[in-house]
Amino acid sequence: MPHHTSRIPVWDALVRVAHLAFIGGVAAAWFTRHSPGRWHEWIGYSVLCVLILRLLRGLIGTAQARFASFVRGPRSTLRYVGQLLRGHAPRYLGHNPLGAWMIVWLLSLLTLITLSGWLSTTDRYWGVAWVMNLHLWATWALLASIPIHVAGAVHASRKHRENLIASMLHGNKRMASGDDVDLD
Amino acid sequence: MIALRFGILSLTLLAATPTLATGLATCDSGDKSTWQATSVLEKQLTKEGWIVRRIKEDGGCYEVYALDHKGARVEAYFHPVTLERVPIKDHD
Repeated sequence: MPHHTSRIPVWDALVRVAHLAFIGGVAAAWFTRHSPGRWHEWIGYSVLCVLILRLLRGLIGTAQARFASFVRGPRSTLRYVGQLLRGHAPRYLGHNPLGAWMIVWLLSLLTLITLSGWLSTTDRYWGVAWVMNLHLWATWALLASIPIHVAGAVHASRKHRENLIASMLHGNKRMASGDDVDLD
Repeated sequence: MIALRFGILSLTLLAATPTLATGLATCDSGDKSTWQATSVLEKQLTKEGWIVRRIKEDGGCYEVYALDHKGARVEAYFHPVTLERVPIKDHD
């Protein structure tokens, strides 16, 4: 069955590089959060630039990079959750509906964190409590969400016998077959 | 159940991370009943021409966010009993 083993490109270069930049950027920003100098700020600006590129890619990108291709409504998402709980969730070539909402959530948090961080360095919002608290709480929410995101990827990998973490590095995945869901 | 184990490990590491003090400065300031009110510190700084935006606690010190007399952004630490400035590593 050669078509079962053939691999096709799914995640384009920008998606993969942005993903790595978010991992590196969040880690670096976390460890420099109280460091002297301006490292934390410049890391934040860099993440914001990558974030803007990724969001644009979500509008005009390759198939699986586009938000319209993976963000699904509450009904489809709940149906997927039901299938997941019964242990027979279908394999998706792109993001599955639940994973998709995690992507939206993580990108939203990154947006809140980078914008509130930038605001808190301006004269106008310097030392303003709500801006600092937003930066803080969005960061905690992000740190709490990352393990859930990784756990989801590991779970789906095991269920569908593929390595999704490796796919996010080299960009390729096994072609859709059987009940797999390609693009709707 | 690798996924579950990973989740539990991550959350444990997260919970173990100290978060309350930034480590920028620490003040041996004793019991809080001996501390001066933040309003006293604010009055002192305002007299020097500062515009105080926020005073909070960090590492037993008062941490102040303000614009100084030249309008520059300042993050400064003060001992809550003596109200003397506590030096921190250059943050600019």
